Amino acid sequence: MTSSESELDWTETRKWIGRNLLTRPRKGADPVERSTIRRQLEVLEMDCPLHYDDEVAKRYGYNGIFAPYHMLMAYFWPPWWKPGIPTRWTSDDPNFWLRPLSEGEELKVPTPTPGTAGFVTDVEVEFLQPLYVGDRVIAAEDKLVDVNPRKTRVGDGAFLTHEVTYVNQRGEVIARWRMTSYSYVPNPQQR
Amino acid sequence: MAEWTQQRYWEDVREGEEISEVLFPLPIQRMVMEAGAVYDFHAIHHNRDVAQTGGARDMFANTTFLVGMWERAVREWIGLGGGIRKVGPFPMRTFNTAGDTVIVRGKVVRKYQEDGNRFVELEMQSVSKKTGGITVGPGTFLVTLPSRG
Repeated sequence: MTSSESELDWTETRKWIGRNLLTRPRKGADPVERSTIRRQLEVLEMDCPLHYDDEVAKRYGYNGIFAPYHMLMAYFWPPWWKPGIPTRWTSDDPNFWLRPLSEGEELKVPTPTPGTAGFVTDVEVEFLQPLYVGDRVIAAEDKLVDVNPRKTRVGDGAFLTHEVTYVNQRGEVIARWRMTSYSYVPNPQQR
Repeated sequence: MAEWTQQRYWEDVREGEEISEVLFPLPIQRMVMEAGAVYDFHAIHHNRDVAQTGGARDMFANTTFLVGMWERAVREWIGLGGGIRKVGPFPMRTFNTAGDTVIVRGKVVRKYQEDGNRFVELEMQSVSKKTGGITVGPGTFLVTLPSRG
């Protein structure tokens, strides 16, 4: 075994290659909204009138204002809490943190992984339709397509590649997303 | 900021030309505003301790923010008449951490026509002001431009 080979067991992870991780389509928590579009444009200091002014957007062939395309990633998140479930804030440790509800809930099989941390390493997104006010982002299919175990400078883990198909509330494909993330156990000396 | 009354046309684009660079300073407040704006509350993007436990130098910008930076720079170049089709593939090489400035740069690498569309391939990259190194990319942003007719 070379020094770059993972010493973790990826057997369970590899069983999911080619399989849809969603038990049913997963809808983002909120529809596309004017205020949330404005808040992201505010952070970016992005002043393109296509995202502010319906008349300008229509003049250029759109149905009205639309979210900048990268906001697909804002509208696909599931909620972090919902009525009927107990409180999720079970600690007042300043570093206590939650994951969105879909991870570990019935909508999605969490990708089995021995990793305890993760970050995105490669992204590719094809944008097929604009996101108009009122639209919903729905993940129709989320497939694990590759598992590549390898140690890196931050820890021992594997590069996991997912392909996700997103549709809107009319069932139209709005985007195809391919993303690789590194799921890993951090090196002890990193803290 | 862009001059939205001007339109760039496909015929006027030259392979190799550069787009205007855009700078994005990253104080913690901006990281927090971004987390709220895009509903991404993963702690690595707003909590220094959690980010460092995972091996990062500090809390770091999320993917949405980074692609958004590219989209702003690209949209200012393509104007109101341009279309956005695809981003990537691109690598996330290293973290863009609080306390740094992300410099977004791009250049035209190809222009072509296909199925009645006039495409331009932009090669984009994000550079750290602190280190001078590429943090995201190089990667492709595929756009369309209108024709002069």
